[in-house]
Amino acid sequence: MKYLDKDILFVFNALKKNDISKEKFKKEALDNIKDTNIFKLINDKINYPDTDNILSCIPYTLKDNISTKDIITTAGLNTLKNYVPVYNATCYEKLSSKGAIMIGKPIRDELETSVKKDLVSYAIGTDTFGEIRNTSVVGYKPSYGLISRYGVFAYASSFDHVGIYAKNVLDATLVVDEIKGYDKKDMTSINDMDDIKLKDYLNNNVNGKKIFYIKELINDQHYMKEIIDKIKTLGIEIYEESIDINLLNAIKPVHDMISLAELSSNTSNLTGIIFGDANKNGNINDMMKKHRSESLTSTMKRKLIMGSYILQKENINNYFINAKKVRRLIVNTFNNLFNNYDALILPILSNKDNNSNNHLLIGNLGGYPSITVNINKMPISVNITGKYKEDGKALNIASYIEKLFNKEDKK
Amino acid sequence: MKYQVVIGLEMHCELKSNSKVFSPASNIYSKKANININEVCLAFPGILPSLNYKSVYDAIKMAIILNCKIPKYMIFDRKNYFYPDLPKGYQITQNTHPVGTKGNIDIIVNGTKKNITIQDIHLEEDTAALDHLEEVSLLDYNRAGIPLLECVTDPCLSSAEEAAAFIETMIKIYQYTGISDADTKKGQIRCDVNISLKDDKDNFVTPRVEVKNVNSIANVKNAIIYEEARQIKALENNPSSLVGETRRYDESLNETVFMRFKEDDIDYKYFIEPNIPPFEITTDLINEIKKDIPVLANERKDYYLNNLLLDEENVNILIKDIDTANYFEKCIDIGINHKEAANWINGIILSYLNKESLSINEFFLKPEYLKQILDAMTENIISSKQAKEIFYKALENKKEPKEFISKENTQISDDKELNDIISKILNNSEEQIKEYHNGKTNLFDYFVGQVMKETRGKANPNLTKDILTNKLNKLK
Repeated sequence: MKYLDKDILFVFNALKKNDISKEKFKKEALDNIKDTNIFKLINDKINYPDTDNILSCIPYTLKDNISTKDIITTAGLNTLKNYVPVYNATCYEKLSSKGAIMIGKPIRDELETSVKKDLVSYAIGTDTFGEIRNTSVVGYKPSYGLISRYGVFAYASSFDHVGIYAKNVLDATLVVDEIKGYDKKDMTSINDMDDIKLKDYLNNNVNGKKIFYIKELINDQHYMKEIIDKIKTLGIEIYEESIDINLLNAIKPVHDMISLAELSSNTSNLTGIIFGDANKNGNINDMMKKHRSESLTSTMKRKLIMGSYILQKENINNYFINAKKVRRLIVNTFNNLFNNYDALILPILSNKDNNSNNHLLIGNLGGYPSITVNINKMPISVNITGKYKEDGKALNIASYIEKLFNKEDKK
Repeated sequence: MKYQVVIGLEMHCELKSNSKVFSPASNIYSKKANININEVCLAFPGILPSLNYKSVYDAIKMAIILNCKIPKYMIFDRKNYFYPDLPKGYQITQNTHPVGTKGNIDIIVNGTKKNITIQDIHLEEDTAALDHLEEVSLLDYNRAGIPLLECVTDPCLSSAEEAAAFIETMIKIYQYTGISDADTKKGQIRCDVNISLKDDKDNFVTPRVEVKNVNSIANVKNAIIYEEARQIKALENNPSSLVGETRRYDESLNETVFMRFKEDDIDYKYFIEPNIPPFEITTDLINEIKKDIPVLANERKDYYLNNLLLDEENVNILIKDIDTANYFEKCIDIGINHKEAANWINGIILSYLNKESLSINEFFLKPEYLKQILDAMTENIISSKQAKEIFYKALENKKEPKEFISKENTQISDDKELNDIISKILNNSEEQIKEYHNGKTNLFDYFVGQVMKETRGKANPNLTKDILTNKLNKLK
C-alpha cells in the first residue's frame, strides 16, 4: 500500500496504529524521490525529532528561497550558488521542531510537481505574484503576517507570503495551523490569531454564506457560470459585483511598480562581500560592481534598473507614490466588499504563461487569505479570497466547494 | 569685506541599549571586532528588522527635551546606497517622519545664552566600522545596527565656539538622561559639519561645504576654523573655485580634504520601510516619558549659580555629571551647608575618586556619612585636620565615620587641660619667648605647633590661640 498519495490525517493515523512503521514510511518517501530525479534530495543527514505532532515524520518540500541552516539555499540566484545559511527561517524551524521531514528544496514548479506526483504530502512555497494559487493542486496563501516571513528571501516585502501547496484544503489548513503565529522576529506578523485553530472552521455551516464574483473577470468564461450554479446548491448565496475596469487593469502595473522598487532595495545585500563569492581583490566598490555585473542575470538586472528608476527622486512621486495610492484604492474597494460578503470567488485558468490570472494579485495587494481549489477533470480551478485575518471563513467555503466537486467526480 | 561663517551641524550619537536597534545582537562596546553580530547585522538573505523599543523611547525622550514637534506615528524609511560598510545595501532611518522636528535648545557661549534651532532629530542604525589599511580594508560589524540618533540643526551657529558649545550641551543631555555615554573616545559622537559664508548683508556668498564624519569637539572646531579661512581665501582669490562639495577632516594635516562635489551626491531613493509597521506615539507614552526626564545640567547650573550663589568654577565641576550633581543635592537635602558640600565634593572627594578611579556612585561615603564628619567638625568635636583623617579612615575600613569620632580622637577643648600643657611648653621656651617679644611675631605659630605636637593635633586650635596670646602677653 502506498501512503504518500493519502492525506495527512490518514498517514498520521496509520503511523500511530503502526500500520506502517515510521522507518518504513520514511524509506518509502526517500526511495520515491530517488527514482524521479525531479529535484535534488537533501543528502545531509538531518535528524528531525520524533514527536506526537500530526506532521511528525511526514515529508515535505521547501522552496529554495527559505533559509535553512547548514543546507544550501540559492533562491535560484547565481550569486548564492554556494550560499549556506547560518540560521533557520521561522517556518522551517517550527516544522523541524515538530518532526516534519524536509526532503528537498526545489524551485517553484518542482515544488508544485512534488505534491501533484505524491512525492510529498505538501510543499512550503512563497507567494508574491499569486504563484501558489496559480496551481492545479490546492494552493493556500494565508493572510499577510499569519506565517512569519523571517528567513524568507525577500522579493517584494509588502507582497511576500509563505504559502502551502497541498493535496486538499484540510491538509493545507493542518499545516498552516502548525506554522502560523506571531514571531517577534517579523514585526508584520499577526499577533492576535495565535489561539485560533483554522481547522475548527472547516466544518462550519456554509448555508447562507454570501460570496461575490466580479462581473468584469468572468464575462467570457461560461464555465464559471456552471460552477457558480453548482456552488449555489450548497446554500451559498452568490452575487455579482461590478468593479471599475480601470481599477482592475491597474492591479498588475501597481503590483509591478511596488514589487520592482522593493526588489531593487531587497537585493542590495547581494554584493558578494559578506556572502557570495566576490573576488576580494582591488577597490572595494569595484569589487561589488564586478560581482553584481557578473552574477546577476539580464532579466534580474532589467528588473533592478526599473525598480531603481521608479524610486529615483524625479520619478518616485509619479510611479512609486502613485502606485501606493492606487494600491490603497484597490484595497479599500475590496475591504468594503468584504464587509458585505464572506468571500470573493475568482476563476483560475491553467495557462500560466499569460497574464490571465493577474487578479490573483488582489490577494497580495490586500494581504487577503486566498485558496485555490481544483475543479476535478477540468483545466480550471477556482480561488476563494476572503477578508484579511478571516482565513477560517475562506477555508470553510473552499473546503465545501472542494468536497462538492470531488463528490461528483467519484460518482 | 567682513564675512560671517554660518554653520549647521548633523550630530550623530550612538545610544546605550542592550541590543541593537533592529536586531537582538548585543550593543556593548567591544574592542574585539565582529563579536556582537548575528544574521541581521550581516544582512544574510531573509532577515527582517525587529525594532528596539528602548531606542524608540529614548529617541522620543530626546525629541521632547529638544522641544520638538513629535509625529503621531514612528515611521522608518530606507536610505538606499551601496557601500561596503552597509550590509543590507540600505540603512533604516527616518526621512519622511522624523521622531522630532522644529525644535530648539539653549546653549551658553562665553556666559551668553543662545537659542539653537533644530531642524529634526531621527533614529537610525549605525553602519559597520571601516578601517582602510595600506593593503586591505577591515570591516567591523559590531557597529552595524547600533542605535544612532542624528540631530540636525538649522544653519544658525556662527562660530567654532558655538558649535563646540552646542555639542557639549547635547553630550551633557545624553549623559544626564542616560540615553548615551556620548563618549567621543569610543566614537559614539560623530558630526557632519556644514560650513558656508555670509556677507555683511546676510547673503550667502559661498556654497555649502559639508565636512563629513568629524569625531571630536576639538576636530569640529579645527575643521570650522580651517574651512572658514579656506573659503575666505578662495572668495578673495578665486571665487569660481567655490562649489558645493563634501570634504573630510584630516586630523594629521589639520586640513579639510576634498571628497566629492555636491552635484555628484547620491540619490538615496528613500521609501518607507515595509517591514516595520507604524508605531503609534500616544499622548500617554509622551507623558510617561516626560516624567522620566531628570533635571538637566543647564537648569541645575542656573540654580547653583543664582540661588545657591556658588562660583562658576565650582558649579561647572558639580554639574559635570548627573551623579555628582545628585550627590551634591542630596547633601543639601539632608542639611549639609551647600558651600561646605561643594568644597568637600570638589576637593577631597573628587580627588579621592580620581585617584581610585571610582565613580561617585561607587563612593562608600554616602552624603549621610559625610554629614557625620561635618557635624562633628561644626560642633568642634574634631578639627578639620581630624575630619580628613576620619574621612580616609572610614573609607579604608568601610565603616561609618561616627565610629572614629570617639573620645580618644576628640579635640582637647578643656580650658584647664590646655592651660597646663601650654604652661609646660612656655616654661621650656625662654629663648623663643624673648625673641617673640623682641618682634619675631611669627614665632607664635611655633608655639601653636608645639602645642599640637604635644597633643598630637588634638588641641582645639582656637582655644589654643586664645590661651597662648593671653599667657604671652602676661609674660611681657
